[in-house]
Amino acid sequence: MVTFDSFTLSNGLRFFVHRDVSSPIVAMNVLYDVGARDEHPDQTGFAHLFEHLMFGGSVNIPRYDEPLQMAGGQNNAFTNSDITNYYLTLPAQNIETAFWLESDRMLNLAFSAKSLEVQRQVVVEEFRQNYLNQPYGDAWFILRPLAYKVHPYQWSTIGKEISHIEKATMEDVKSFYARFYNPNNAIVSIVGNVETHQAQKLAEKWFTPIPAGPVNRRLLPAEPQQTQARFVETKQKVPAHAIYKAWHIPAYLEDEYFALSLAANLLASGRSSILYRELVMRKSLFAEISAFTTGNLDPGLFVISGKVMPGVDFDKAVTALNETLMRFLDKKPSPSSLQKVKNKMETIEVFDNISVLDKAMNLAMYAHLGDANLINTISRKYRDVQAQELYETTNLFLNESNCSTLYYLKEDE
Amino acid sequence: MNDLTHPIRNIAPSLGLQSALKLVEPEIFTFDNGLNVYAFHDSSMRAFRFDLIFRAGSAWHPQPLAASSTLGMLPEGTAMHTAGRLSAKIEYHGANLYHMTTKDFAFLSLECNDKSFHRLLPLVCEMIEYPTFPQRYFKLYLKGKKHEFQQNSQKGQHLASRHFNAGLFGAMTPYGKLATEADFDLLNIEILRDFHRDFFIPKTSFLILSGNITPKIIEIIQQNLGMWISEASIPVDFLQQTDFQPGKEFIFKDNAQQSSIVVGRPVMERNHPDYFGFLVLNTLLGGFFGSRLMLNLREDKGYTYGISSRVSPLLKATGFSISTEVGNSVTRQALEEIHRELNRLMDQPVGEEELQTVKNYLNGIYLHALDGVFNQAEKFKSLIGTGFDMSYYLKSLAAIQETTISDIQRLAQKYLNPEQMLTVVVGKESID
Repeated sequence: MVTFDSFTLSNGLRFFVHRDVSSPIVAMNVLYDVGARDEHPDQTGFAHLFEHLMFGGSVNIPRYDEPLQMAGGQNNAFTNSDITNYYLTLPAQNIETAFWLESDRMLNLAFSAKSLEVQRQVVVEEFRQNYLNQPYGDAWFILRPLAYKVHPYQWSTIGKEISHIEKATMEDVKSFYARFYNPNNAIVSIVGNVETHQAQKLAEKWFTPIPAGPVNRRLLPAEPQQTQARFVETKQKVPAHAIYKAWHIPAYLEDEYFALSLAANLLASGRSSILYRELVMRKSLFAEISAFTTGNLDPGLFVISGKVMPGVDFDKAVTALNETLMRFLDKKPSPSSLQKVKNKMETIEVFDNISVLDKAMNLAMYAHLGDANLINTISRKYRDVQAQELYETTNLFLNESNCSTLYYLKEDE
Repeated sequence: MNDLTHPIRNIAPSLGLQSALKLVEPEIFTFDNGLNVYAFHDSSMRAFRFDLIFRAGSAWHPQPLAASSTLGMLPEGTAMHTAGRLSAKIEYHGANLYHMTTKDFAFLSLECNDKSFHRLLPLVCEMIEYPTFPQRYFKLYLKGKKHEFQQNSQKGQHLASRHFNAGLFGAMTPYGKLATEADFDLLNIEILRDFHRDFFIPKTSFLILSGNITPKIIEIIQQNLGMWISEASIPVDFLQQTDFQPGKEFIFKDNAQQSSIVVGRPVMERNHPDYFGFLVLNTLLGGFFGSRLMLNLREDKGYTYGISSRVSPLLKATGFSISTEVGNSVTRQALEEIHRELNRLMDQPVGEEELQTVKNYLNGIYLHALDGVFNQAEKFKSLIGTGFDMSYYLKSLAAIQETTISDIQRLAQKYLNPEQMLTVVVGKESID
């Protein structure tokens, strides 16, 4: 059980504090409600580029990392389609350093031209390293725009193309900051050996003087319902043929989401899963198979992807995959298989809430979803899914007319 | 208007005293069959972790892939259960089974909740004692691994580190042996059976437990793993005569979007008096975000998304390496800057504040990395076979705090001379 207190400052900044006396380390997580979905279609990759700039010096502190390292701390951050999340840990006695650093970059940035120039290049190299220089690294660049025709999930967090990052100007950077990096658009969580009244005193000292910003109303175009199967094929220099299938599904926390997430686990999580057993173990048609739900805050995707075993006929593999999926959809899961995936969710919950940092990240995320106590109750949502409900939900969503398929083929040698 | 008054923001809040590490030594048992057990106990934990460690890493194997394949085949069927039944049972309890082979060891690990451990342990025991190595699954296993190998061979960073590793230790030595695609066809079940018989034996194995370890759990383990018998005698230790040649190796990759670079050399072993000081030097050079390599090649020049250096200790040798991936057009410049940073550490003393930052940072890292029984067990794992106990980390941290500016320069001169390094580059920009 993760018990916590929460309070809100006059500028709208929300805090969540969980006391863990067992650890000498304290973790602070700052979540900003801005992600790649908030970008302009001609300026994609900006939220992530901006995350890099948050380390390039704030109004009173020339370098973010140096004083944190001097205080024995470490930090990192990530951006996805929905949020930008910053986190740090440091010895508990130096907790005020965390308040000082995070409040200064929420107050204002230094906006150094050098930092923008360098980080643009760094992100371009990140683009190359993680997406272009990897086999299948560009699969999602093809799959996203196939599945999403109007919603911003059609582009990746890293951006649609390198040129968008190269073209970012200081003016863009400043207006992005003014719009999104405000106390009323953020959530702070703190976990460690700290009492709420101490945290509140420090929060008021360092964060209260930061003025609130504009209130953002997110008016994103809803993705219209897909009514026809979509399909695209690419041929590249990769070691084996691969297939990706993506179906539109409801957003994270919607009732149907949990049944679909369990279905993905039934299909391809572990060696006893349906697709693995049938297509990898029994028929040796695929070398790898996976299934997952994207868990986005707007309606997301249910994805199945597989790498075909070298030497196996591609059509034969695809047919077997489709047939196995049809058979799965055809009947309710057995009580024991449903129990298995629920047990797995319970183990994940147990292992996910051990370290102070994991707890801080989870608290902030669930608070952002509207209920921080989900950190304690989320596994109940999985536990409550019934076999009949899973059967009906998967049949409702996992049909061909709702599906986008990518054939990622190996070039002939 | 008190709430609009800013605190002093351009001066850092004062720092507290460095906190001391609080370490617990594990409870140690040795079963009658010689198996050594280390228990990291915390009654508040619901998560449970079990790590079995065999002296059966790739340095011991008779031919490439034998060690990892023997371990990888253990869950593929036992005298009592088929592969399908084993995974069904383990997964039913929400548990995860992992296996990993290093040069020195083979690891078989289980993560589960404390309620299901007693049901899972007998299955793990079967895998260790009575694996059947069924032919059909062996073929399938090799096909899958070959696919993985081919996929990795298209990754620049992967290719670079494989070639670097062979050069670092000598391709003919136990640590430097390199598997090729042809090796997949040379392996057979008899080799795995023999390797299993000779190297998966209780006398040379270790068991690390972390979580809520009740006397009942110890009793169950005693009844299972405590009864594990093997007729095999302790294998004769291998000899690692590292055969390192500095120089440059370039591997052409026509579709490379970046050059993958690894630079390094063998350095001192863990019991050498220079070792802890070298950890400080490594951190300063490339061991954290504020390191010289990171500040120069990423934060100043934008050549790369990341660059790091690391010290990789094995039982009989230690590797030191710098690795990065840089834009094709700046390959030469990146190598020059790496050399510049090495030379600068040799030629000029480091700043007092820079050194203090690294010491404080490492103090925080140790606190973090040793926080809780799971992390402590993890750190203990890296000491297996060395004879050190957990106090190693106290000694290490104390030695780190005592490292001086002149120590750093002396160590840089002794170990970081660029001319004594091996450089491997994979890409399409030749480095000559």
